[in-house]
Amino acid sequence: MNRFLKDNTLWLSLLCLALLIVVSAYIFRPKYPNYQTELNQSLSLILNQSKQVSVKDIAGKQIIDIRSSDLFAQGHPQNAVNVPVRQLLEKESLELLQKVTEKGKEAILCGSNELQATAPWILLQQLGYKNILVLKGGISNRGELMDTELAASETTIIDMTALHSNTDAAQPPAQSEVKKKPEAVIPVRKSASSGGGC
Amino acid sequence: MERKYTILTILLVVLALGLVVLPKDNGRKEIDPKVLLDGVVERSRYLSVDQVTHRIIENDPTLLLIDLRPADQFKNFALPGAINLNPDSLLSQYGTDLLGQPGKDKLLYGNSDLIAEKAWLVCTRYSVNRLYIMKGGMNEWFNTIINVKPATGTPSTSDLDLISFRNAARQFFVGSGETANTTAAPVQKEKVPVIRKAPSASAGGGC
Repeated sequence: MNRFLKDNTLWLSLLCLALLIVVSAYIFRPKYPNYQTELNQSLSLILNQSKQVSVKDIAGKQIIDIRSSDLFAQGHPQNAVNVPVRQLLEKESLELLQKVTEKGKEAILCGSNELQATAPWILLQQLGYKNILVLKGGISNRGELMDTELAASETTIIDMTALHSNTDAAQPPAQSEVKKKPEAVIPVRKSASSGGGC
Repeated sequence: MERKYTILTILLVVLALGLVVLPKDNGRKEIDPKVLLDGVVERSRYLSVDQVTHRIIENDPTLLLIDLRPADQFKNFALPGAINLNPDSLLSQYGTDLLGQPGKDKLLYGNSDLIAEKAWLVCTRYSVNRLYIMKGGMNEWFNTIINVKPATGTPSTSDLDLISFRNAARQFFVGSGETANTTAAPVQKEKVPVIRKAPSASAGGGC
C-alpha cells in the first residue's frame, strides 16, 4: 500500500484536488431562488399582457398585497395576504408562493397601483412562478381594489392636432390668409441734369 | 491496465461530474435576484420629465433616449435624438451595443411607465448599468411640457420658474413650426419683377 501511494502521489493528489473542487462547487452553488427563464422568455414578458387581470376577474385567486404593513393595516381586500415588496424573496414568502403553486391556484400581486406590482411580478415570473398574475389597477388607502386610469396605461394620449395647433400658434400670423401681390420695385434713377456742364 | 491510468480515468470522471454541478453559463452576467429586488424598491431609477427635458434642451451628450413605443407612434412624434427600439430586441446584438455604451445614461420610456419598468428589470438582470426610466413616459411628458397648466392660487417663485421653463421648453419642441417627423415645406421665393425705367434722353447740356 505504501508503495502504491509512493508511486502515484501526483495522480492521487490531483484526484483529491478534483474532489475538493467538485464538493466546493456543490456547497457554494447559487442559492435558491434562481432565475428559471432564458433571455428570450424574459424579453417576451415585457409585452405580454395575458397575466394582467382586472378587478372583476379576481374571484378564486389568492390576493397578495405587496404594500407596506402600515397601509395593509389601514385597510385591505378580503382574504388578502400581506407580503411587503422588500420581503418578497424571503423564505416565508417563497414558501407561501410555493404552497399556492402546489394547490394549483393562481395568486394576484396587488400594490398601491399597477406600477408598484409590475416589477416584482416580472421578477417572480423570471424566478419560475408562472401562476402569479398582476392586477390591472391597485388598492386604495381604504383597502378597495381599483382599476387603472387611462393615463397610467400604455395607450397614447399624445394629441397630434394639439401639437400642430401649438405649432401654428407659434408661427408668425396671417401669412396664409390673403396673399399680397408682389409689389413691383421701380428703381428710381436720378434724371440726367438738363443743363449745365462745363 | 496500469494503475496510474485508472486513477487518471477516475479523475476525469470526477471533473466531469463537477461540470454538471456548476451553474449554467449563458454568456451574460446576471445579478442576484435579491440585489435586483433591492433595486426595485429604490426609486433612484426614475427621472422626471422636467429633468429629461432640461437635459435634452442642454443637448446633454451623456443622455441616450430609448423610445419603446410602437414604430408608428414614434414616427408621429418623437423626442429629438431618440432611438426607437422594440422591447423584444432590447438585448439583441444592436440593443446590447446601444445599452452597453460606457459613460451614457440610458433612458427608457414608453407611453406610460409599465413597459419601461419591465424593460428596466430585464436589462438590469443582465447587468446593464446607468439605466433610467422617464417617470410617466411620453403621456406625462406631453401633459407636462406641451399642455402646460397655468399656475393656480398664489404660486411660489419656484413654481413660476418651473412654469416659465415649461413654456420655454414647449416653444423649443413645437415653436419652431417643426415636429420630429414633419418638416415645414420649403418656402418658394416669389419672383419680384423689376421694372426698369428706360433712361430718358437727356434734354441737353454738357460740353
